[in-house]
Amino acid sequence: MPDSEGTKSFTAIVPLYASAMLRVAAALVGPAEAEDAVQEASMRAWQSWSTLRNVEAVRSWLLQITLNVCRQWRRGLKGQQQAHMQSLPEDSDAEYHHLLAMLETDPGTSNHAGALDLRAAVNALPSDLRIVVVLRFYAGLDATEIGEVLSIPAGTVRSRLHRALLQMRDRLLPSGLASTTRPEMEGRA
Amino acid sequence: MIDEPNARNQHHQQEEPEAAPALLPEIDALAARLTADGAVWQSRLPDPARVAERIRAIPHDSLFAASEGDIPVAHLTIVAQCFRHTHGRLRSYGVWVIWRRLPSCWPWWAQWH
Repeated sequence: MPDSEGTKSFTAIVPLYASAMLRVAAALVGPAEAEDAVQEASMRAWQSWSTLRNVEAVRSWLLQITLNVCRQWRRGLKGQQQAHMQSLPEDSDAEYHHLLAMLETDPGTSNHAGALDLRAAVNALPSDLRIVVVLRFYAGLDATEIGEVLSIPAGTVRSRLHRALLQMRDRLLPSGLASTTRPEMEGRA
Repeated sequence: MIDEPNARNQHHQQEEPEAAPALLPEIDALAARLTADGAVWQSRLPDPARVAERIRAIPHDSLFAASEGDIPVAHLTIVAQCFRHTHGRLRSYGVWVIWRRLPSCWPWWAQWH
């Protein structure tokens, strides 16, 4: 348990990242569970606060804890006390599959049909591509942050984003149009 | 909040396009659609200020829980293991240390050894 100085720093620093933690949690387990997931992640951060060595890395540290809480929830281990700083395997589709909820089908916009198509295209992506799209566009993280959270290089994140966008384009565009404009940029960083 | 949604990313996009070195127009448009849909999606999330308040309350709630006898799960686990391995008697110094660290406001039967 942190001392009084630790308590001060915790209450001064961690709430600053509530918005980012909330967006990541909502992207992974859905908005309905996001608030509780952030609460759980913050509790774990509080319990481990004295082990944090580099305050400058607190944002990615908190987002990693949030991600691991969400992963455990997705696996049905909600509420269990487990080690929470282990990294995700780089290329484990099964891990990402456990991690991700589907984007909800009610987009809440005036352009329902377009948004539904878009989210259906996101949900149709392979898990390793879907997670970078969700974290980039729905959680609002940049490639470097996504790389830190998923423990993969930022270049890999960018490559996956590009492949994801190409696959989504092929799904969303009328058949025939997409294949005529496909670039030769399928390589991974 | 220092991390307003997408604020960092707008800056990042200016310096270093993330999706590809040379985006095709339809890919660029798709990224724009995703960004717009992401903004709508974020606007429907719970209030971050409320979440921040819940986070600020965590240290206080932890102390309050201890002082009110709301026993943390980790402590319960330790105590259960103590009883399982010692049949109610404390034998090792390590367990004794853990026992001594239990909140002083716990009931007498939890404090007695």
